[in-house]
Amino acid sequence: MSILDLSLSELAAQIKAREISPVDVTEASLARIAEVDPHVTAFVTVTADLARQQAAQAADEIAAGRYRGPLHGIPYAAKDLYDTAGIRTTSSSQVRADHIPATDAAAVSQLREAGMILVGKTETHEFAYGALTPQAGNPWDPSRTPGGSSGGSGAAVAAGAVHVALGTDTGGSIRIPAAVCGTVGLKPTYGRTSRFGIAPLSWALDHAGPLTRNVIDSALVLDAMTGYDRRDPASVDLARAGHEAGSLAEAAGASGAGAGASVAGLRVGVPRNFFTENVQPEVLQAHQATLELLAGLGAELVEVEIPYADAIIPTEWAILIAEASAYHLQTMRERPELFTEEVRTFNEAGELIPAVDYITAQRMRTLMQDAWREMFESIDVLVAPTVAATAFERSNPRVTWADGSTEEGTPAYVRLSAPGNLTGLPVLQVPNSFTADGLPTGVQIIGRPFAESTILTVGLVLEANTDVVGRTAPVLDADAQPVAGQEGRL
Amino acid sequence: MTDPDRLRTLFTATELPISEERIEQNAETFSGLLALIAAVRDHDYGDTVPATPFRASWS
Repeated sequence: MSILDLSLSELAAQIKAREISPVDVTEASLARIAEVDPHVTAFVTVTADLARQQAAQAADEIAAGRYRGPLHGIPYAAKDLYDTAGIRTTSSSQVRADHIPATDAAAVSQLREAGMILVGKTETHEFAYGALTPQAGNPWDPSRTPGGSSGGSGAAVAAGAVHVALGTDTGGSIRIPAAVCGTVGLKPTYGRTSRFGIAPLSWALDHAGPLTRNVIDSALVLDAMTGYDRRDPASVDLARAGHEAGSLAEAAGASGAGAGASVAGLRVGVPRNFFTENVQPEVLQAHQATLELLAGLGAELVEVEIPYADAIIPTEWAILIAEASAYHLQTMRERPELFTEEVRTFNEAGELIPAVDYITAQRMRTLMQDAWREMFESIDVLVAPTVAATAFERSNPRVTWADGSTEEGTPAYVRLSAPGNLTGLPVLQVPNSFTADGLPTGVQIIGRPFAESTILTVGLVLEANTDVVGRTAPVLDADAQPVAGQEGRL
Repeated sequence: MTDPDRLRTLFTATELPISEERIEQNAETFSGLLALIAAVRDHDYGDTVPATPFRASWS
């Protein structure tokens, strides 16, 4: 048994009691990366020297009685969109192949302050512009995609290399890889976490948050990442805005491994449209089982109609593509050949979007926000499938639906997660089953603005009442071979 | 006007250098995305204000 088989909470308790050293945990993490990464290629860069230096410092601090909290001495990875001072940060793109930032992203600074240890930078779909991460493999089956765009982060957590990896989410890019890799993923409310120092895809839709092994891990990391940052224009000062402050982990009832969490009396919204259309039968069955579990634990199920369902995808793409093309405008005029063909084509398409359509999409976003607020008058959370399908084959990332229509991988994955980005509401993805093929499925719990503690409570309850959360993939137990195709790796 | 002709006109307005070959090859993708996005117009917006924040405050 590896010490990495322990949960983050168990590790934290043993680190605090000085039964395990952060140095040993870090060495175990680096060893696991060395074992599994040839099979899943989740990492762009492994920061072994920095990790050992940070681990030694953590060990010294704890020995001196300066224990910082439950993340102190815990290794983590960051998506390669997050700036890391002195460490190459590529956005998995030739455009930034040699980019070495001078400063850390806000979240990297915050996790360092909490005592976490950076062991590496993870692959992303180039500049987060897609939901497949073609460079990486899914630990449950490396011939399949880990999803994206935070695919390397999903693979790193699912493979047991780290308990925590940072991701970003513009159309589902935390929740999608978390769902298809079988990890927890938390997209916070828009404005709760700072995006400072993270390469943007779309300023109006980007969110920063964690992918983790267990639900409590996400609560702890989000506690560390929460805080007003004037360098991010969307950042919200929670105290001034009158929102709940304090520890999310405590507010969610996380003490005692979820023993304090309950869904009794909680009104759970059950979508009767949009989230149920063109979804794989096994995903729908798992969703139904989750609803029945929650009802059995005292939750009240309330059917709801998702408003403006026909406008969700046009609105998401109008905003995302136009803003991404604005961000890449200069590079597209100077070195367009550095982009992959897929992203270059999207960047070109974005230049064609009329300003009127972009502004109209922003007006639609206002209408959606009002309509979702009204929908939430009868519910406390909405529970829906996170993605419409399990992990696609890397060689054929698309799905054929019962009516004979075919859907490409990225739009098929983004379709059910886009509402969380357009509304800015907090969303927690939790694994809820494994299919007969051994692939994970997930459920997303959507809450009211800044009500992360509520969705975390539901997640803790689901984890405590199922046996699918917290599993790591047996990457080396199967007939795993090093991945042959590593398209787009730098 | 065919799709490539229309796209050529639109790209000229953007001043983005792009080859005839790329326009031809990706015409379906470009046109498909523009049509998808244009669907945002199919609603009644009344006096709805866009969700684009601007704050004059310096804090």
